[in-house]
Amino acid sequence: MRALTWHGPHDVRVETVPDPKIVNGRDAIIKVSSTAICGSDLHLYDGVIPTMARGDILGHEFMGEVVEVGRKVTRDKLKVGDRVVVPFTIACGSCFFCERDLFAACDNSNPADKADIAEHLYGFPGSGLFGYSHMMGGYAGGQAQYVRVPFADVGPMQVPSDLPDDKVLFLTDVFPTGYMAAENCDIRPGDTIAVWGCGPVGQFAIRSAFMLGAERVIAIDHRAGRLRLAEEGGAVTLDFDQVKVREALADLTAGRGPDGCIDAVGLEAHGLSADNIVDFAKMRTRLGTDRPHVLREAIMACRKGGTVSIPGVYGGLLDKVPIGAAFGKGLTFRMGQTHVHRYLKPLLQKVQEGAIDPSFVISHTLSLEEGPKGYEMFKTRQSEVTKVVLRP
Amino acid sequence: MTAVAARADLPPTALVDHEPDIGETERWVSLALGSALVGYGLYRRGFTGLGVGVIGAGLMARGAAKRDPLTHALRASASERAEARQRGWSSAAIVTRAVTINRPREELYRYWRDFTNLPKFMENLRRIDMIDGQRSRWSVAAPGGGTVEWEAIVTLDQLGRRIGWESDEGGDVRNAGWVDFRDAPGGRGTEVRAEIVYEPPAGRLGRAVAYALQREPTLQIRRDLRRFKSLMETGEVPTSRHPATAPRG
Repeated sequence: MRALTWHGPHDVRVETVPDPKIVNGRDAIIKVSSTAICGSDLHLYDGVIPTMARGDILGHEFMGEVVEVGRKVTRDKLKVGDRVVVPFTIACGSCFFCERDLFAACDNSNPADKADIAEHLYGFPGSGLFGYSHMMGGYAGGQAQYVRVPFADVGPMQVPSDLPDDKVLFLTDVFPTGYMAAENCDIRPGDTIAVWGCGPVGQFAIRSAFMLGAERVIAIDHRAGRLRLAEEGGAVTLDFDQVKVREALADLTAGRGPDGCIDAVGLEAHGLSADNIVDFAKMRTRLGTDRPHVLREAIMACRKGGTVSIPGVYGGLLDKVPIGAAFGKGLTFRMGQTHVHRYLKPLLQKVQEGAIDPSFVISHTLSLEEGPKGYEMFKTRQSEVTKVVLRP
Repeated sequence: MTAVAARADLPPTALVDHEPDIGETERWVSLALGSALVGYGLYRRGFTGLGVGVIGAGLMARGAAKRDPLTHALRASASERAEARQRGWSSAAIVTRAVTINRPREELYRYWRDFTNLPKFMENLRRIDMIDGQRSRWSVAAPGGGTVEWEAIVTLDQLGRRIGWESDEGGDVRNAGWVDFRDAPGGRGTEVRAEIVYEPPAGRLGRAVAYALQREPTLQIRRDLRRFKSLMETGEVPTSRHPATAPRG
C-alpha cells in the first residue's frame, strides 16, 4: 500500500510499504477514505518529538471503511463494510481508566515494550496513539491507504451515510479536543472564555464554548486568516502583534479577567532523560520562547478562582511558570490528551442537528501522494492553511 | 509504628540505602586528593584548571558523602546479601514489581498456577512443560541468544492467594520466585505482587550487561506483569510491531 512516512525533520515521503495485517483478535483493518494533518503532526515534522523511527507511518485523524475484522470482533460491534471514524487515542474499554471514561489514560493500549519509555518520563504511561512516536505506542498511523486498528470493538464509531467525510472526520480528534477544552472550563451563564491559538483546536474550542453557554469568547492569534475564521465563529479577536493581550483582556472584562482561559497552543519539550531534557530545552531556546509565554499569560490573565484549560500539547519541563500567581488566585488547571471515545456520540449528534458543520476548518484537500506538500504548506503558510485533508 | 510496619512490607528497591559505598581510608584519600586537585585548579586557572577543579570537587563530594555511583549501582543490597547467605549462593539479585489488575483474584491465580500459560506474557520464556502438578521444566532465552534451562518445584500454594516456586538442583541458573494476589480496595480488582530471586551468572557485572541487552529481570518483570495485566483485562497482548515479529498470546 501507499503511506506517508517519516524520515527525519522536514522529510516526509509517500512510499510503498507492506499492508497491515490483523495481529490480535480484536483488531480491524480500515481502508482510509479521508485523513487529516494535525497541528501536532507538525511537531513530528519539525523533529522535536523523541522516539520517532525512520519509516514510521504518520497520521492520527482518519476514517474509512472496515475491510477486515479479527475473530473476536462481533457483528454487533463492528463488521466489514461499516463506515467509521476512529478516535486517535486507543482504548481497551475494560481497564480501571476506560471504565471511568478516562480513555486517554487506558492502561493497556500502550504496549509493554513501548510503555517503558513513558513510564520513565511521566511516572505512568498514557494510552497508545496512532502514528505518534514509539513512546506513545509505536502504532502505524492513518495517513495511508490502510491502517490496523487495535481494540476495534471499542474505538471506531459508525457514521450515517448521508454525512460526507468532511463533516465527520474531525470527530477523531480536533473537534472533541476543542470541545473537552471548553467543557473543562465549567462554563456558567455570563462567562467570558479566552482562547489562545486559532488553529483547528482553538476554532473548535471557540464554537464549543458558545455551545456550552459562554456569553463571550475572546480569541488570540496573529494570523489574519485564522482570526477571520474565529470571528466567523462569533469570537472577539485580538491580534497579539497589534494589542497587549493582558491589558486588552482586562479591559474587555472590565477588570475581572476571563473566567476560563484555554491554551490551544502548547509547547513541545519532550525528553527521555535528564540530559535529553536539557538538550531539548536548548533546542527550544534556539527556536524562540513565545510558546511557554502562552501558559504564563493565561495564568496571569485568568480571573481569581478561574480555570486554565490546556488542550495544547506539553511534553517535558517548563521553566518559570508563575505557579505563585496560580496559587494566589486559586486557579484550577485541567489538561491532558482528549478522552475522544466519550465525545463521539454526543458530538455526532451536534453535527446531525446542524449545530455545527466541522468542515468550516478545512482550507485544502489533497491526494495522499501530495501529502509532503501538505505538510510543507501547513508549516509555512499558516494564515491561509488551517486544515489539510488527504484522500488516499 | 505504622511507618515501621510499612517499611518491613516494602521491597528493597523502595528503601533508602544508607550504607556507605566506600570505607574510612578511601574516604579520606578521596577528600585529600579532591582538595589537592581543586587547589591546583584554582592555581592553574583557564579551561584545564576548570576541568581539574571539577574532577577534584567530584572526588571531594565522593569522600564527604561516602558515595560512589559505580559501586552503588553494582553493590548488592542488604536484603540481597541476606538472601544469598540464607540460600548458600555466591550472590543473589532480587527483582520485584506490583501491578493492579481489574479481574477477580481467583481467576488470576488459576491462570498463573498453570505454568504453561506463563510464556504467553513472559517474553524470555521459550516454553514451560509441566512434569506433574508440582514440577515443571523451564526453558528461558539467555542474553546473547542462548537458552538456559532448569526444573522448578512448587514450594508454596495457597489457593487464590499465593504461589511460590524454586529451581531444583542441576539447573543452569539457580532461582526462586513467588506471586501474591490480594483484593484491591474499592472494587479495583486484584493487587498482584511478584518477586524473583536469582543467582546472577557472572555476578553484578553480568547483571549490568544483561540489562543493556534488555534480558535483565528488572526490566522483564515490569514488561511481563504489564503484559499479564493486558492479557487478563483485554484477552490479548497489545502490540504495535509488524505481524512477523509480534509476540505470542
